[in-house]
Amino acid sequence: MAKKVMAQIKLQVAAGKANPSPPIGPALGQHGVNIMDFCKAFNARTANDAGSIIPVVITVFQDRTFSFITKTPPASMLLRKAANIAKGSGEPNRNKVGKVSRDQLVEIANIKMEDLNANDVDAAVNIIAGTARSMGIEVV
Amino acid sequence: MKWIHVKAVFTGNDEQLAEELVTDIFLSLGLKGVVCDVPLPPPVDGFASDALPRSTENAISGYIPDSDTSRNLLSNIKQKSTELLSSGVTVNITTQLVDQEEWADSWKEFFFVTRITDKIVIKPQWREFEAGDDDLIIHIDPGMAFGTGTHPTTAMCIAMIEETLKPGQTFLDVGTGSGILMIAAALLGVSAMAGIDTDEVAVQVAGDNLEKNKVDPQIYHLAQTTLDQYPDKGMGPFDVVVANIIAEIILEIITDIKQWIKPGGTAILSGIITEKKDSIVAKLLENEFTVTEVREEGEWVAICAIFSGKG
Repeated sequence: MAKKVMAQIKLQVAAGKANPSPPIGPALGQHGVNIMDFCKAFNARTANDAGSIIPVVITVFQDRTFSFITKTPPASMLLRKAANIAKGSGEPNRNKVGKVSRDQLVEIANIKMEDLNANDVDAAVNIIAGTARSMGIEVV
Repeated sequence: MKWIHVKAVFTGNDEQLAEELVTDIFLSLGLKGVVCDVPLPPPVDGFASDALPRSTENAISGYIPDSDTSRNLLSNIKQKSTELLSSGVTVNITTQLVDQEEWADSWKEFFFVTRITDKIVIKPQWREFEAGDDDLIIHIDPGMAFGTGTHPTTAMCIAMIEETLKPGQTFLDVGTGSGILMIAAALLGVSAMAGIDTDEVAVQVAGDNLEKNKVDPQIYHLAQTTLDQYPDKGMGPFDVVVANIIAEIILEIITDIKQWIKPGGTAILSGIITEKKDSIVAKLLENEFTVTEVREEGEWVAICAIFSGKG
């Protein structure tokens, strides 16, 4: 019989560097999950992506065992990296803080494809371009 | 230790974009992670009847240490949140002071006495257990260190140590965590052993656990160091070297392990996931090891190998 689910938790944390400090500790601890066991499994699976932030959805079962799936890094982070900027703009319409090329957008769209609600790469590129605009990053 | 839980409740026409932009406020200001309280596809088999209902609000939460500099960070988060209005995202920030103790121990309620092998039993400090005559008991309080005993890699390592380590031999634990594998080695009659970890907390916790298990302080040495920097305390080279870390680190330290293992000695390696198994085996073969056993449980692998080099 399938195990019943107690909770689903979504986090975004640094690949390969999970530890029991917040946000992992409080997010999992309150559901009775063994924090260190999660950290060990997450670090083993994401060690190759060191330097990235990885979204992860953790499913907690009634016996407090857990499973998790990892997703692609957030588009905003990939855009900041591509544009080589630390932060997005406070006034994205008036104050542009960086530039990305269409090729860079396609590259990001390909990375993000599996997690986006997009039928093809063009649709995915449009979604990423929308995020770029909202951050004050110009597409050139 | 106290932390400020900063919760950003948000609304926006495009929820996915709003989540992305609010998350980016926290991450671009240097936080190492966030909790995303957002709608997720429901589990296939549904929720348990006693599952907590999900909040109806969408929110991103970050935690910042409660210190003098945190006020500055908090005002930056608030400022950046206000700026999102121009992108059609409304954010309401609330804060709450939380204590580490509130979450650090809550999982212990679900950590029970576990029999690892015919002989070895792991007993959390807060549980009762009536031991049989032949049982070897590991008393453990892992705290914030790796090695609870419930993890498949810990259990596989303990079983391999029991099958390999002979009374009177020497033992080295690389990445000792809670010290659980050193305690197992002590119960099996090791004559001298060393445990190292790069994490200061782990070295502290391991020391506490060895003491709780009444391991003679004369026979062990604990140090906060990496293996290549480990200062010889006259114990090495060792008969058995164990490293339960992750594949990427094990790949890096196999050449260092060679410096610390006796010819004919055994290396027990775990923390490896299935997809990384082949790369570890290949690296061992390159370095004069003979793989004698590969054990698997779920996605986890433990490898036993004998060093056939001259040391």
